[in-house]
Order: sequence, then structure tokens, then C-alpha cells
Amino acid sequence: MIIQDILAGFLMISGVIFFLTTAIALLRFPDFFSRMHAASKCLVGGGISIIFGLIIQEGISPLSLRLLLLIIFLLITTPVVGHALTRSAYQYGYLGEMVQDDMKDMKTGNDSND
Amino acid sequence: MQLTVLILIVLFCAAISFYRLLSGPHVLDRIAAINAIGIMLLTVLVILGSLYGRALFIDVALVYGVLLFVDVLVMAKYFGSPDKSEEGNQ
Repeated sequence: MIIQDILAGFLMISGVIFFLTTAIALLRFPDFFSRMHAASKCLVGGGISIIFGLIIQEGISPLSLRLLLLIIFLLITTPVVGHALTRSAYQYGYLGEMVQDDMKDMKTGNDSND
Repeated sequence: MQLTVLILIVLFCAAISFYRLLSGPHVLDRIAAINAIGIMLLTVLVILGSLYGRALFIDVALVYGVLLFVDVLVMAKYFGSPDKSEEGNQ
């Protein structure tokens, strides 16, 4: 069908644009926090867009069920990874030039689970 | 045809992100670059599985995603504590 192809192509092209945004942000941004800000969100958007375009192109099949499982997995794990990396950068003290530090008077040195 | 072009563009993005892996000023920059390259190669595996029509590639992509998640999480936990991360930083 023609509508299926157009929708799948649009989703795949938007996913590739998200991935290019991730690569250019990792290359050009001057700070670790701005790099992680661009990288984590655009990775989720790019992966989900490309896999969802493949699902629309494929139709209903066992292969598209596994692709749906992969989308749910990416939605859960990638924000967790971004949060853990940014938190360990703050605990290490790799801050760069910050304008305002709201977590200054909290205790940051301990490694316990909170 | 268009899936091949898609694979080539995603591999080009992974090659751009590889620069940050080579010349990151801190070890956490390198871990973020490894995370980005891993998710891009996972997407390449998924597109290859849909191009050849084999469901085995998508199972491999699922296991690769789980291993990447645990890997990056353990590395962030290890290098984040300020007393242990002196030998990882250069």
C-alpha cells in the first residue's frame, strides 16, 4: 500500500535525522551535561522511530512482535543509562562551567542507594 | 535499496561518534560515546534482520541491548565514585 510506504519512509528518515543530531551533538558540544542532554533523548527518539518504521513496513508477523519488545526495552533502559552517567559525573565532580548548582547543599559524596 | 542507504547513514553517524570515543577528555565522555555507538549498531542489526527476513538477528539485537545496558550501568557506577576512578582517568 502507498500510505504504508510513505509512513514507514517518513519514520525512518526522522530516525536518521535523530541519529545525525546525536552524532553532531557528541562532536560539537563543549560540556558533558549538554552532550548527555542531546545524546540520551535523541538516541531514544532515533531508535524508536527506525524500529517503528520497520514494524509498519513489515505488518503483523512474529518478527514485528520482537521489534515491539525491542522498542519497550529501549524506552526503559536508555533513560536509566543517561541518568546513571550524569549522576556519576556530578558525584565525581566533572562539572564544567555551571551557572547555577541546585544540589550544592545536598550530600553527594556517599555511594549508597537512595 | 533504501534500507541499504539507511544502514550506510547510521554507520556514518557511528563513525562521527567514534571521534568522541577516541578523544574524550574524561572517561565518562568515552562511556557516553560507547552507549551511542552501541545503540546505533543495535539499530543496524535490526535493519539487517528486516532486510534479510531473519528473526535470529533481532534476537541477537535483544541480547546485545541487555549486555550493553548492564555494561554501561556497571561502568558508570564504578567510575562515578571519586576514590576509585583515579586509575581510569588520564
